[in-house]
Amino acid sequence: MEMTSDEQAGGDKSRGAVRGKLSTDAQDKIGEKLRGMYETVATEPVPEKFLDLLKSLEEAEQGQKRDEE
Amino acid sequence: MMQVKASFKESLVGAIPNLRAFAVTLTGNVDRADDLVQETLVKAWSKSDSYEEGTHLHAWLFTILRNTFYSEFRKRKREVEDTDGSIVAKLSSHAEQTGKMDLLDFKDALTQLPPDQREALILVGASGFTCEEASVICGCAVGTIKSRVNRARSKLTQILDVESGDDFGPDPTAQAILSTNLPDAKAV
Repeated sequence: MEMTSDEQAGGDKSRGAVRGKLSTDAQDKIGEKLRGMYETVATEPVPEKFLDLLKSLEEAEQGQKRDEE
Repeated sequence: MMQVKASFKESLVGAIPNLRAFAVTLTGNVDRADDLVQETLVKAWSKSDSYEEGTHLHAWLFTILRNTFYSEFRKRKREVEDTDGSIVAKLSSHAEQTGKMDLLDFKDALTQLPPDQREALILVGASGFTCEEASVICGCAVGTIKSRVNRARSKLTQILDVESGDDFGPDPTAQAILSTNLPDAKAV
């Protein structure tokens, strides 16, 4: 039986934060907030620097292959 | 062979938005997140031979990203331990004063979770992976993922002092906050 510090700490607070007894409301709101934060980033356009990076990786590899031939 | 690599590259590009979202929520810092994504792409490119066509590319990339994050995290661990307690105390008192959780609180609170719990919560709660997939990505048992998610939720609720939905107002500043760099938690 493993008891972590997190679980022990969970017993100290009674207001809506007891482990396993989180209010559905609180859980929903945490989930909503997390997904909002995640989606904000996930819907941003891909920064140019990453496209450049992949392009240069590809070019480097192609250059290497040409050298080998 | 060249064409296979070209389609691999397209798949990588397609995965970048999700990789960034994972990295930003995991690190709480856009610059650090982008560094992680960059490293992940370089590693994925060099390991493309070990990726099996038809398997879950996102899961494979997430695994590379989180492994990179952890090897960096181990280097920074002492720093994080030094500040952890004071930040949690500060956040709790802030929540008590305002009785309201804004996005800045949430982002900081997320940063204060142990990384294994934060990671499990993000993978299951935001990235859309099942607990089974998350367990493969994290290299642990499914039950471990479930308990980490529960502990993460519980701890977030404590830090943010959330009792009901009323604590969360509409968030007009969310976009603005996320598009700028927040001060690093260590500087608080």
